[in-house]
Amino acid sequence: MRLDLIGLCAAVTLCACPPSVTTITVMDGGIDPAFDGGVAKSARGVLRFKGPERLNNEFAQALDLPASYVCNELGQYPCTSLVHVLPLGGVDPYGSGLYEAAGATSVTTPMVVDRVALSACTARAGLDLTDPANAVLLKGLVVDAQSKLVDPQGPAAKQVIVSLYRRALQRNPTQPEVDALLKLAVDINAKGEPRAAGDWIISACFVVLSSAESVFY
Amino acid sequence: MRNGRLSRREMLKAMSLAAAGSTALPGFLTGCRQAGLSDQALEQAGLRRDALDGKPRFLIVISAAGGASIVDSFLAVRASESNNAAKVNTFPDAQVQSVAGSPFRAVKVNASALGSIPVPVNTDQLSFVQKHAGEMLVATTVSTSVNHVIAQKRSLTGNNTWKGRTLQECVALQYGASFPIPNVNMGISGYAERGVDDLLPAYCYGELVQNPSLWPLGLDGSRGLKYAPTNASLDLARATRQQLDAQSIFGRTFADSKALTRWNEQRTGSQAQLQTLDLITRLNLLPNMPPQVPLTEYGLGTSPDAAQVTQVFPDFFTDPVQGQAALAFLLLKYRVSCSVTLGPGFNVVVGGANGLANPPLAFDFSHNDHRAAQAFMWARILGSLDKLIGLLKSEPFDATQSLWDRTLIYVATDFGRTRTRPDNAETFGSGHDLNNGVLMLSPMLKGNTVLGGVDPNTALTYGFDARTGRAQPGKMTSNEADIFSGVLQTLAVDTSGSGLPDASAFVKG
Repeated sequence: MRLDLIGLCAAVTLCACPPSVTTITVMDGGIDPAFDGGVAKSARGVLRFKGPERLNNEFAQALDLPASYVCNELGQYPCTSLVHVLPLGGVDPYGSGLYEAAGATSVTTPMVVDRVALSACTARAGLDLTDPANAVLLKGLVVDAQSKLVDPQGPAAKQVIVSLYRRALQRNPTQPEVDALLKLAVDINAKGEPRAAGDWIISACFVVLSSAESVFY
Repeated sequence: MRNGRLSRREMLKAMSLAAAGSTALPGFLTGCRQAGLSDQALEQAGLRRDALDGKPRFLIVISAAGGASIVDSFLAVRASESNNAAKVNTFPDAQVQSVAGSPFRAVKVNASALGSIPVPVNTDQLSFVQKHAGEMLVATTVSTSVNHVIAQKRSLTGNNTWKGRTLQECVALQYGASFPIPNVNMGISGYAERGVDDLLPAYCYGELVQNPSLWPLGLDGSRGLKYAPTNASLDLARATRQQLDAQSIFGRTFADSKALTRWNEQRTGSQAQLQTLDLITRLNLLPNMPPQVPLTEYGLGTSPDAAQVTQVFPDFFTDPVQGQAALAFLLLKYRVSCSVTLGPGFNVVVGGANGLANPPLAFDFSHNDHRAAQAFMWARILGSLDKLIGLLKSEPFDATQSLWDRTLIYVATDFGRTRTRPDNAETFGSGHDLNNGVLMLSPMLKGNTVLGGVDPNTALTYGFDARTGRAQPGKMTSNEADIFSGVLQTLAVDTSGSGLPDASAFVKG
């Protein structure tokens, strides 16, 4: 059973799907060795939060989504241009008369970032589900009848991770990063969740998209 | 206190307390000792929390944008009282009503239009004053800017009188350590700006809210998102993210970054705490109303308080002030915040009995039609206040007190309005003026009190002694620090070491 037929959509009855297997080709390389600690600390440590427009556009680009698909509260109210503009460090000149961004993340910013990233990842997975031939993330992962990954540490899962890092962070993952996300797949499988494979794809995407490296510059 | 020594004033006060056998002496000396510590040191030592005794007080700031004129409300001047009545902003005697046993006045206005807007304005402040006089305090003011944004901010910082902190930040610092979002700010422009003291704990700074009805949707990281992974899977994902963030080259390179440190604290501390409170439900007044608001379809629900609150504020979704006031109540009720700021914006809001809920520029529409604009906007503010106070009174704080018993409402405003008018004109425009007064309401205030007064011949206010409350006719100098201090003293905020003036005149004896 291919992952693109599993339960991202509650309406899909997983067990009724005919078994099929898609093989993928793992890229040669694509994974960097473990970080050796040889990077100097930034003396100034000046980081800026990316803000609503930039986050939305980068998430859209990373997941090959239309910008309007990234996040919509209740399916219709845009997260980054209407509902959560201020927590994401945006401005609201016409409404609140706020012409300058707050300049610092607020207490609700992490939750809003989580929502935007999760929403984008779920939207990508949903599109991959409906158009498997042009899937961006859900390429050839094999799942069993319980919607678990058959080989949660196999080459297809690694391929997903490499693809995520390249798309979102423009670099290869390191070996520990691959290991951690593969372990996440095993752990989610072990939880026995009804949509384990789908949960892992979205969760792995969420981990990368909402990482500090992804939301600061 | 400097270098561990009491100042002369502190020593005298301590000796007088000791001589009187006052139980306040230990607290006073503790305050002196702690004045030598930085705010961060106090926080780290838990001294502020110790002083709270688990009983916070609450500040609600109403940002009366545009210049709410005190002589168009509680200090209005009758024409018969002024020898310059035709040329200054005085009212026909019949429009200025007195309230028995109270120094406040109440203005009644009937106008056929609001400037060029064909909306009748029929307002009467009498019922509000009669109902709330005992908990009202009006203090005259002279501010220092007639620029809207600057004046708005100065109304909250006392013109940087205490390290540039806003009142809301001071209250959050005093009482907010255990609140998940101590300082929520729904105001506009200068009222929404943070102070300039960068050394406060991060939680003290205002959480800006653009739309009070939709804002609760951002109070959970995953609920309300279709097809999101289960909580168990997300917990694993967040743990993985935390581990990878710390290990990554990026994380190590910027390990000393203030922004990243704050981010990690917010993610690992505040987020987890907030999500357990289920605020995405408790603060959500929206009903399930598909297709516009398909709450159920997205696994969300309406606040258990929605029926009570929306009955009081039925236009919460379309009128920002009603929505803000409703949210303010819930933020206090659920102990989410100890300081909430709300108020009208400068944009037109359609609604209300006559089709207009908010005129363009709010109180600043007085440029076009002073009297009708002031009457309309005061009615808007007082109507919302009355409802909000009613809700706060109905909600117990503990076994002996209501939320209202521990709340102070400060109606901050940019500045006053010019007093001159063409001879006997009832319809005229006004400009910005430093001279004004402000309204505060609280059971903790010295109620039924006017601090200062008004000269009927100029309709300008004069000052007062912030310690004794004695009126000082002729005093026209800036007193932003007195107002700032009065709010904080009433809320029992520890101001030791601040250099703020004694504003005992504000506090209930």
